[in-house]
Amino acid sequence: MALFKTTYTSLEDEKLVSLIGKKDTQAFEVLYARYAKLMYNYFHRMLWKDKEKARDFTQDLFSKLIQKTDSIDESRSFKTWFYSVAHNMCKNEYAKMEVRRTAHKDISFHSDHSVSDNQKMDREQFQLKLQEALNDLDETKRTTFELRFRQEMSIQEISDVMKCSEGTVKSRLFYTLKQLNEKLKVFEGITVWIFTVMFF
Amino acid sequence: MDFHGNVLLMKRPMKKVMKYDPEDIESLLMHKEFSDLYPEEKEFVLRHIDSPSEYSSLRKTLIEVMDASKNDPWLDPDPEIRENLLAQLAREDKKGFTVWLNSLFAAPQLPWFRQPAFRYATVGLAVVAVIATIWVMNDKPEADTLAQKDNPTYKEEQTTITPLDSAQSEEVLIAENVPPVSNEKLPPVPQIASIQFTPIELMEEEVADSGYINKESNSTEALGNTNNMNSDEAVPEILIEQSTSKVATKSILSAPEMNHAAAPSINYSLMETEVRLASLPSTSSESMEEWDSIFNVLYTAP
Repeated sequence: MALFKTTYTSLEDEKLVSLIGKKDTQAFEVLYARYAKLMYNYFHRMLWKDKEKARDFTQDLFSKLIQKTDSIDESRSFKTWFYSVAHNMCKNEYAKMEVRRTAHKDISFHSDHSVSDNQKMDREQFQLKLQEALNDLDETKRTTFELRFRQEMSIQEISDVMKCSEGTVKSRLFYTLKQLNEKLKVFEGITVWIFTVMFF
Repeated sequence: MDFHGNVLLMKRPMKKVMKYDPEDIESLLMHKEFSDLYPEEKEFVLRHIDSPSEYSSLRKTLIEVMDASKNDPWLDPDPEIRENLLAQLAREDKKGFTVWLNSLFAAPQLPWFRQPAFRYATVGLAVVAVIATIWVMNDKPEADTLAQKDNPTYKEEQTTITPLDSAQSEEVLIAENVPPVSNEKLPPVPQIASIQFTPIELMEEEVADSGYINKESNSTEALGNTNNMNSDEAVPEILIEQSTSKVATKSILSAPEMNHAAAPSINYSLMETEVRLASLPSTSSESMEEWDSIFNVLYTAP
């Protein structure tokens, strides 16, 4: 019998998962607090900023965690396991959504409108342009980019999630950066032109 | 090695080993301007990037992207998600526990072992139960037959009892079917030369579970002759068992101490619904009445 009360917040993810397997509500709450926001935003970004989808996918992901705690490989990091499940869910969704490209174009269309309406050029516009450029990337590069720069995962973790070598992850990141650079260069040119028109 | 023992290093062209992997540009872009790179790093970078200006452009983009990612607001998930999940967890908890095969046995790495033990156990039990049921059902007629054979009622129903002519057969029947009769409870046996018994109509519609039934004789029929019988001797007894309201003619037996020579000879046929008593020891009509009350014969027409 345990003499001291368990401090859940100090427990590692894997330990919390094993407690969730025993239907420990507190352990679940702690793990949820750690990952819910990350996963929700991950889904939100990966699924075309669709809040409903992000909500449903986040719930499904945690639901899988509750149901499959027994089948989680304890030798693997929980974080990478969790992200790989999320990644696979997104991939399945991409496969379902054959009209994804069209949807992207719709999003970018709205983005352009908001840009032109507000005439906010600096960071906000850059954000929108960046999002547009990211949407134009293929799924693999976009996921890699998202995991690296938004979720701030290490190269090794990304390679675990995406089941590829670390070199491949680095290479993808580099070429993604080159691609973004090309797109954002054009954007910089346009902004310079808009500024020029506005002031002169 | 020269003659002084010094090792002479042969001059040979060394392969230039790069310190960086081609994929490590990201860290250089992030941390250094092109001008801050070491010559070796510059050489490495320029293998993958066209010019120093492109390096600067990429560096700027990378930093902007990282800043933009950091400054992009984080959305809070809907609190309803948490509530739904906690409800699900509570439901899962109520489902009870699952015993997995991999927790029962020592082979957790086998994928097929990751199956719920109770599912297999339940299926196994169901199969065993079905087999057992079939086996019992097949075995039942034989068992029933044996049971009926052991049951005295069945024996009597299946057999036409012939007059007892041997002590052995009487004893067997007594031993199997009839409790010993106490002489103290019985009236003295009358000495009569003959007694007549007749088929008896059942006067009571409802019959007790077992016992003797008083009757009234309507018509007489000679059943046999009597022999001498001592009052101390056991009295032939008619054991009557009944089933429902009507028919329950059973066996007519004699006590073990009975003088078999004087024992009533009984012709008994269930099918013909006829009971005959013979050789009852009696000498007077009063005794006959007494006997009549003792030897109650239940008889009913089919």
